[in-house]
Amino acid sequence: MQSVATVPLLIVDDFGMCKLPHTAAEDRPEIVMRRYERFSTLLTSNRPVEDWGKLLGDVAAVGAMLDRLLHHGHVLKCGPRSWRTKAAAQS
Amino acid sequence: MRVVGLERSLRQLHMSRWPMSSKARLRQAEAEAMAPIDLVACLVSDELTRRADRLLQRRRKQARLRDPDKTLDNFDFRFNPKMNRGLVFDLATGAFIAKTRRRFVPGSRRDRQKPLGPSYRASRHSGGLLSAILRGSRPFG
Repeated sequence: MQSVATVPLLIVDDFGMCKLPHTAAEDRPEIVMRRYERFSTLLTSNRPVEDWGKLLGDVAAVGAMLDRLLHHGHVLKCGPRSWRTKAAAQS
Repeated sequence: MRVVGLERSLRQLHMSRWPMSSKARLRQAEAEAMAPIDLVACLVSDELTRRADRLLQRRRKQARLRDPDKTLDNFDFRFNPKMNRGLVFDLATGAFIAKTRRRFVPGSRRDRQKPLGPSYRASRHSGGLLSAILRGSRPFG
């Protein structure tokens, strides 16, 4: 937890792609809160933000996490088309 | 000290690549009648550039990127024209990392908003960019 909370840049790829453990609702917001205004966090997900509460099973904790993530954050929407479909069409 | 002796000394200093640029610089110094201090400045600058390139190469290797040759220069933004191109290029500079760290001064929570402290500067100079790339279910999922 300590190393994850203090690296200068934490990259979380494909957030919510795999089934999350039952402790997810506690440790994910905890990491974000520890990093808030101290270190940068880059998070990618193809799940809509509205679903994160259901995904972690704690709407209030996710709300607090998103509040901190989005305070100084940038949201970059990629899409709607997938680059993989473009590559498939070309080949 | 002759060039051969210099090369041996540089190897001892773990600067064996240095003579490659220094020979060219020595020729340049002779041709342009360069002042000794300018020559030293050029040599030091060459060495710093070389070390920065090597550091970047090493970090790229450590990152084990799936497509290491892919860059934003050849990225097709036309495929998804609504994507915020300016933001992509802005974030690609990595300036946000330094910006966040500027806010953080190691110490108590109360001290966070203080301007740059010596401990911050020390950590900035001693450590490189350390990133944790978490994939799959460990520990975020």
